[in-house]
Amino acid sequence: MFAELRQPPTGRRTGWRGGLLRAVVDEFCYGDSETPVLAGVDLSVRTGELVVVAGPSGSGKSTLALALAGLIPGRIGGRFRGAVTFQPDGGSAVDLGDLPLHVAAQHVGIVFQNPEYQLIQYQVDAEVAFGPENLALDHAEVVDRVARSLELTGVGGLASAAISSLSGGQKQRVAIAAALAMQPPMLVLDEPTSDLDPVGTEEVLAVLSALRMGGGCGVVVVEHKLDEVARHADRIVLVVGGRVVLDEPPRVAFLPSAPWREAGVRPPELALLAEVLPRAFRPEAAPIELRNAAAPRARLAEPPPDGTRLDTPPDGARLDTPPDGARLDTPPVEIPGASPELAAQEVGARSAPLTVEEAAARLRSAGLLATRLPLASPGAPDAARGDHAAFEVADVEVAFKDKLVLRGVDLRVEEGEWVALVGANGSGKTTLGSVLMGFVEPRRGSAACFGRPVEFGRIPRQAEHVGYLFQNVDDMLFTETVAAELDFTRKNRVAAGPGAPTPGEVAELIGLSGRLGAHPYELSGGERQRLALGALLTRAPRGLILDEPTTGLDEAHAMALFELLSRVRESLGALSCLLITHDMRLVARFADRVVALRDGRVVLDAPPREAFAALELLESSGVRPPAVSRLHASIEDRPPAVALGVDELAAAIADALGRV
Amino acid sequence: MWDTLHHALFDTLAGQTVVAYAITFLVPLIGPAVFLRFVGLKGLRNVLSYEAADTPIHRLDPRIKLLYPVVIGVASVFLSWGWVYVLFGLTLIPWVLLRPSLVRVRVLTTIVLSPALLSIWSQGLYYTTPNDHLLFAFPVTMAWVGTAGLSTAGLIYGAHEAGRLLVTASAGLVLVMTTGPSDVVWATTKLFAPQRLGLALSVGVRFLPQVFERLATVMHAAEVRGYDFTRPSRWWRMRETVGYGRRMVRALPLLTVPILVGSLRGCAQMALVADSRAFGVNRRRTTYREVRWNRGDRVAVGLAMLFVVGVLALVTTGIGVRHGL
Repeated sequence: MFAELRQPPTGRRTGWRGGLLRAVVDEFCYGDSETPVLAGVDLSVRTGELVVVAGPSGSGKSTLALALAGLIPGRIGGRFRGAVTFQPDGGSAVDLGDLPLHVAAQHVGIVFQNPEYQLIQYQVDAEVAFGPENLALDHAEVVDRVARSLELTGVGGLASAAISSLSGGQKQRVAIAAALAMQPPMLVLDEPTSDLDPVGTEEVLAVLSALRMGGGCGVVVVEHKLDEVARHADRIVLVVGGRVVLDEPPRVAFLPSAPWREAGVRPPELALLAEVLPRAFRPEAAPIELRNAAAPRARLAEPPPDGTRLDTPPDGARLDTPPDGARLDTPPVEIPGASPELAAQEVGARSAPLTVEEAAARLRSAGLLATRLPLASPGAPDAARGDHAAFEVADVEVAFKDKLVLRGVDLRVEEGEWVALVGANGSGKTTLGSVLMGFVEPRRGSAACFGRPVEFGRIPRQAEHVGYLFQNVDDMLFTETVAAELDFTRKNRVAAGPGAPTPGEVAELIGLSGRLGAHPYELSGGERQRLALGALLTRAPRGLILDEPTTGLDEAHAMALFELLSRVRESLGALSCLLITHDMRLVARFADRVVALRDGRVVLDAPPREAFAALELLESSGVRPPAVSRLHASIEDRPPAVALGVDELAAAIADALGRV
Repeated sequence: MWDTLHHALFDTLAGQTVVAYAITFLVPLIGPAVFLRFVGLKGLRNVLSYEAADTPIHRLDPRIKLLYPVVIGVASVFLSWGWVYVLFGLTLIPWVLLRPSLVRVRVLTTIVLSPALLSIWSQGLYYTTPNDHLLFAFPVTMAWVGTAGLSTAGLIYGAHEAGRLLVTASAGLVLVMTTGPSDVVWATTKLFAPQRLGLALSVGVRFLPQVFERLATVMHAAEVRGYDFTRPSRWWRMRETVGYGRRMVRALPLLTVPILVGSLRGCAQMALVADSRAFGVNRRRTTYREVRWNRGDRVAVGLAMLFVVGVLALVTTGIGVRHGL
């Protein structure tokens, strides 16, 4: 499934208008607020570059994206000092803030996080044609733009499809196509993959990579899936507290990882591994990959001693485009006072692999050849298991209209067991959870929770024992305060399980005891997620079904949720859980067992270490294991079990290299 | 036994009051009950959706299909009720060409007949003329309802009006079933609508199914939180039924908040997107889609012209003109 997507779609159009997008923001505060969201930012992006902007939640990265697209200050109110300009090659710079929005959109297009709310037509081609039609272009030009945009984004075959019938990745690609139909030389995307599954993420990133190929469109993408996006990037920018604190090529941006960890952003696993094992990942071990590493950037990860920022190029630094027009993966930068030898030494010491294949090649060059890596604890995590089934389905078949979504699925989750249900979108994961909760009636087969048959439509009865966390937790919050949400159960005289915690205890558990008076919509996404989970916990359920609990959460919020789940598991030892997820970190950390679905059938049922070792099977099911697990699987020849974390694999590699 | 019952119901004040209550409140509920039983909200959503097929009707220019219910509806206003039922017969011809499945016919019939019967019944109660013959005269205890009873003239008038409803519904459903939403939007903007109305229509068509889905999800979420929407198994158990009604009413604000907040959040972003795509910048837009007329379109237009001429002839000669025009 992923192999098909590795080849990015190519378009006929390669002659994008060249130019430079530059944001110089001395200060920006929202509304009447005195707290600057952006301060002292100076960021330049050339057409043909793909720049990834990362940062913790609330760091200002999305605000920076809005500014780059010319929406600040024109459309989003606040106090703004600075300018965002686009300077076409050979032309003079235009201030995007001075332009009407539709004119700015022809210089810099923007794509938002949720594709649902940026697609306003019913059909794909009508959506893409919407902009050119509004510009009153000739019919032939409209048709041409629609065809080119659809082709560039690889959705040409879906031109007459209804948007509601598309997958998340396809919708986001249509949104990109619609922005491209305005023919902007630059594209800014604000977390375009955060709501997408791994297949959709790969689809979108492949499109972005293709767009900037061959001296093409410039792309700025705000993203927190650094494991996936880093290999496509020319530069990685870290934004913390409204400031750009780091701007480096991807190979050196994450080394050392300290600035990222301090900022609460998790660097790619391969970079962390390279940091732990610098000798094993020497770049000279993979000379072909030195193409990127040979072009050092002027900026350093470590802040200078005097506290001044190094987010702007030093005097004399310049970005060059080679005379033949070919794109450099990393534009060379002249560093005043820095000798080429010094720069090469710097990069040689800091160069992270960007792909699993590259990391494996480097390890092989370092002498690690198909060695069996000794794992510290190859068994599955311990779990407080009971003797009875928490969730059980037998020969379940579900069809929507004439489409079979589940085809004879059998699954048993023991009491106290945490099982991860993984698979591509449309594989039937959520439908299986819905069957267990009584939302969906199976056409055939049976389902039971804690020994009681599930009755379709009798959801309150099901909810006496089982809590269901919806993917969009906003659908679960009904009242005006956090306290009222946690008191909802008692107020509605809903039966709670034995030993049900009080709202106060739950508030403490979910870390919201200080915000009981806040409106749920005032909370951040991660806090709302925890509140919704807390609301379920007030009923003391014996089982939980969590549907994509980390989708859309940044690293810090995901970690906070992980901590909460750890505490829940610790305090409610017999709690059973069915985790429906694409997040393999969640799986690696919490699952006792991984069940993979493909086209409505169970194709894999094994503990995480063994499941992640079945790389080909998982990838063909639209599941991408963590990079360290994939690296482990690619080093050994069909290992029976793989490492789940960086430290574990690093220890195993170090041990193996020591033996070599 | 029968005589006793008859006497109790029709010759005593209490019995007459019970019958009057049933006529006023219970009978009108039969239509919606039948509708919910045979169609339901889910069925309504499915049946009111475009069904792709390759029929002469599907192949027609969307503008012709959009004008069809308008022309038929206007004609029904001018024609006498006898001719309206002839017109209803004519509107069935496209259905013959479409050959819908029996399930769909059942659902469509329910959709069309339920409001028609309701209309007949309500006119029977409230359409009054001097010297009405009352099928059932309401007792004095029902004076507060504001009608003398169920009248024959009212029922007949209701049947006339229902004919117009049937004609328009039959023609309108042909449009809905055979025309994709994007075609409806395109045809509307081409024929009538200013840009803003066109966009509103487009957004509505795009997001209506999502609102239904969202409502279902939010109701599920409320049930997961313990809120009970389960219908009582026996509706005549008053305590359970009243409790169910109360829960449903109390749930309205609960369910509205998440849906409204989600929609409003989306609206702000949609506005940005529409503006960034130059919406409303030019007075006239060009169009991506161009429709070329085929033989079917020309035949349809010919038939439509013939129809209009025929209706005009009926109206101007007085043969088929509606009484009172």
